[in-house]
Amino acid sequence: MPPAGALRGFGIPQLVWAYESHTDMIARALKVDPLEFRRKNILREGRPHATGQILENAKHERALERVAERLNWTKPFDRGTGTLRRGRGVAVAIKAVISPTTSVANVIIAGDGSTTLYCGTVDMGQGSDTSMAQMVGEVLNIPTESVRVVQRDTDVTPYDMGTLGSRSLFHMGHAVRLAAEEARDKIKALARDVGEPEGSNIPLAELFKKKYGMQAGNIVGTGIYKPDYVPPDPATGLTPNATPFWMCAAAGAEVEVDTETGQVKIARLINVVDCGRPVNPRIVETQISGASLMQLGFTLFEKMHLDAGQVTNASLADYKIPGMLDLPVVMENEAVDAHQSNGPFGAKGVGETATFCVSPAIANAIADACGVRLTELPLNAEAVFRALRANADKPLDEE
Amino acid sequence: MTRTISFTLNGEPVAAEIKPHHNLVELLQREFNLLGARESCGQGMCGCCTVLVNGTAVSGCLYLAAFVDGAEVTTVESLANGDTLSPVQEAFIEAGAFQCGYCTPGFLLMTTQLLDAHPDPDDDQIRHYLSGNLCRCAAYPEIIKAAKLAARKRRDAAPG
Repeated sequence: MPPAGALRGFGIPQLVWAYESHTDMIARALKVDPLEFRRKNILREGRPHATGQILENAKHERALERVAERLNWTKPFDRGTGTLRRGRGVAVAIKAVISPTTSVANVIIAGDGSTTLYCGTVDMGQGSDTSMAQMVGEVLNIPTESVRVVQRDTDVTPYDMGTLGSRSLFHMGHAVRLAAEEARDKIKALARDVGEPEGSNIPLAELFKKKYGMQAGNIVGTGIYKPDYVPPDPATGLTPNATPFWMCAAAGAEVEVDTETGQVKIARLINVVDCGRPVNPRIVETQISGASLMQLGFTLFEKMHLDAGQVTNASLADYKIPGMLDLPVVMENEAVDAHQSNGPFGAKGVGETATFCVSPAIANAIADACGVRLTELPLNAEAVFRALRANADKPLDEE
Repeated sequence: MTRTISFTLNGEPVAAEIKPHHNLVELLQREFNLLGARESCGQGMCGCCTVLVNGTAVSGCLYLAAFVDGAEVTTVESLANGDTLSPVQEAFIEAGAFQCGYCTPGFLLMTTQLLDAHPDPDDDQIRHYLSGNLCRCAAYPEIIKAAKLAARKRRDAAPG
């Protein structure tokens, strides 16, 4: 069996590859501008999604418009000269977050006034420790850096469904917020108990001393979050509430195709997402950029070769992932102005969002540049060259 | 069939018993608990195992431990001076030039070597010099920024 497991995007990049490629094919067959075709047919907020849920908090239209602006879509476009053809393409997509899932967090304030967060979200570089600490700091009005986040350990940290599917900022964020709010309410009650005036900002260590006469005491706040969810009706498959939030993305690409070799150069790659309100804008930038570049690898050169169920190129020498020299000449990343009404502090996840639209945006740009429509990934030089030759009625031999 | 080798490790004279097939990463991890250089691809393609031998970066996963007998070996752990980080390390933090951090030791050593050879590199030089280090999290844009920031820091700290 070939190796398989959850991978960033979780099947949505594959789905969007299909529907955003064929959207361009339909638009071109109708001789309608691909952007205009999307504007006319895009699923708008307030309208029902295929699941039956009314689309809310989904700024994919805004993301698409921002991509178009950054690409200067309405301005004249240099189509290249001689054997170098230039083209551009766009794509837009949404993804639901898996539902229903549960996250639990504990915020514990010790006798010395220090604050510790216990949550099961695994920070593997996506910055969750930082964002969760920020949320505790926001609620308790203490510096982010003062919040200690313990190492994940199922003996110590409470239940979490998993760090996956871009769910943590939203679900664990809510749990963390609720835990911090419970801790805050207990602090207020303790302050009242020892006769502190309303709004007193007495340091926690002093508050405990007032109560117990020594450095003692503990405050524990627990937050449990599970979003509302309505299972699909078995008869119709419909539900008014399939998911608590949508990830929304748009991408735009400008490419240069060397028609003598099939090589594709990405001159510009634009990634625009709706992630609600960025809790940490710098971290959001790295997640947009990282997701996009990961997908770029799948788009341009990554391919697993299988023979009788064995992967025959399981080696970095034979399976190429993006390196420093594979970056697009220009890459622009943006999170549109948005506020997730049901999200913690208006936020929602972004880990996978910028993967969705990269592949079709580039394929659409290649089609725009030299008329070849590729329907399989990767879009490597050989695939482009074969398609160019097939288009010119001079096909290469089969492999 | 073991053999004793002696070499300088991060400025200190050391000795170790090795077998002929041990590579440099195994030696550093098992005998000296230095975990900065780590094996990832085992083929010299990714740069996670970067170690400096006699001042030049090598792929530790392909470098036989036996070959460092008598050599000067420098690892990423030598960059900091106690609690004081090197300008390159500081630049990586300020620029946010890592996510999971697995590739970071290799990038730190290569960026340090780059700036030793080219104190004021342009984007192209940085990209080519660091093209042997892979990052699956794709922190490349931030790493390029960190390299330029580190160059500035080193210039500002230089005497005269």
